[in-house]
Amino acid sequence: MRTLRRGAVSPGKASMMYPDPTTTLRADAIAWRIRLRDGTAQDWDDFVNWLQRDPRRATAYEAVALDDLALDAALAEWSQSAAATLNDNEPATAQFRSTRRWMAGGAGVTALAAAAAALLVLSPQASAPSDFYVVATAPGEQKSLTLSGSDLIALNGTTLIRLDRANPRFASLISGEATFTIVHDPAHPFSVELGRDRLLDVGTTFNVVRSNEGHKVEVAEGAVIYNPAGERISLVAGQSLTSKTNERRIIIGRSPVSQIGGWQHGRLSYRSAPLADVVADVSRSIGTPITVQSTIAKRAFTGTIEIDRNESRMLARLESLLGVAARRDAHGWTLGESGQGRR
Amino acid sequence: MTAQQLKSVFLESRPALLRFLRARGAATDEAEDLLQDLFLKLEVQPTNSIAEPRAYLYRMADNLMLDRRRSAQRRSRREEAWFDESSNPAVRATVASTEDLLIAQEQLRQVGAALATLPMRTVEIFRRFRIDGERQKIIAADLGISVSAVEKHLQRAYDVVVAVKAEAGPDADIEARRRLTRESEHDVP
Repeated sequence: MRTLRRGAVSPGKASMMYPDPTTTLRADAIAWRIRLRDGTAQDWDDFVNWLQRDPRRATAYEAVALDDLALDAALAEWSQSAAATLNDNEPATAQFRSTRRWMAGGAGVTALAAAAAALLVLSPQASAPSDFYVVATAPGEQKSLTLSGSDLIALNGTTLIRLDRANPRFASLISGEATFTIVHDPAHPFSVELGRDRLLDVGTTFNVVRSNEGHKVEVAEGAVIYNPAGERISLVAGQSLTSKTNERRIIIGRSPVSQIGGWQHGRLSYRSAPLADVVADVSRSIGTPITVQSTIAKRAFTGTIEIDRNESRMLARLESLLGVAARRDAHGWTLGESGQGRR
Repeated sequence: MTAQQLKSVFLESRPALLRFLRARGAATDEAEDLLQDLFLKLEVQPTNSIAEPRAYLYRMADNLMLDRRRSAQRRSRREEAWFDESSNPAVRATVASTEDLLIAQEQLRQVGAALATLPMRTVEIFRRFRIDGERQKIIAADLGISVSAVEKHLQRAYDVVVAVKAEAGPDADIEARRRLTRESEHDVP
């Protein structure tokens, strides 16, 4: 029978300290998970009594327990490759020794423990402070970046991307469009942040577009994992993933490989794409705002559009290809039903 | 303890174990099924070092139930996700193994980053308990602090680890949060 001191957290007592019921439930569930790790039969009997008093407790416990279990799986999976990394990777081991002396010592540390301890230090964010910088392109301007001498990022117009001098295998696409061509290196996956979502890959070519409306990823070569710690969706060459900001759906589709990142060559290809998307892409490519009237925004378009940097010519081309009428307005152009308004 | 002895403890504890599984949220059918499963597994358990057989059985039952939940989640995620029949099987195999590794790395990276926000002592206690498998009493004695102090450190560390997963999107929430949609060839928006 343990006596509880003020401030000590024990199953059931947490409710006295936290006003929020979800926090209480979770805190209690955590306390039980910890206690049961080396629990006696009495502990387990007490646990059953605790569970029986409120059905939400079982849900809370299961969530905590599953996450706890996942840690085991992750540690086991990782430690197999970690051993190799630790042996081969001199600079990383040296870093480990200097920054976390207290972790390095101790006889009887198991291989798994050593691997796990090392990971806490070896992960880029833990070992080197970030040194972020932002690259921006003007409307209609295209720019190419090279990281680590061989990873290529091609930026389309009106694009903002954040990079890290301390970590060349990282990019955060703030808005706009970029094609990534990443060298194969399973020991150092390349990660792309899209707000709260992320892509992880070992060596691929893929295109990403991000705006306030959401984001779309298309893989031309290799494989990419979308939200590895969340939805865990693998995308291979020829696949696309679209996520719309206010929708709960993720749409997996197909994208012909030869057409992915076509904007770099001034060629945009579509199959049953909504006009709104097509026009947004053209707009980005020429750096001129073009809006679409809501009446025609969802109309489907199939075909290829060659970009003409001459604005008038481009709009004329859109009129004939999309069967719409283009009208100049205060900001740029608006496309509407053909027959309604003339240039 | 022999396998036979363990089995007879199981038979004695069976009603309590059933009660436990139902309290955990399993339907009676599922719970009965799980206990069957557990009984079969007792055949092949190494039994030398089992100090507390009843606690051991509770833990086994708990783990079995968690394993089922996790498999069910994986299955439903794979069903929802695409499967391209025309894709190269070698590519798929590479993707699958790479995927497991990358997921593990990512999860650990997030856990590591979250733990890095905690005081060194808390992380050390977490590592010793969770990864080295040391008991709270031993850690407390070794560090010269009370068991409840160790408990507090662990509570704090686990809280941070669970929070990481919760933000990333716990499996249980994924189906509710997002549905995968496969674009059909003839979709007209």
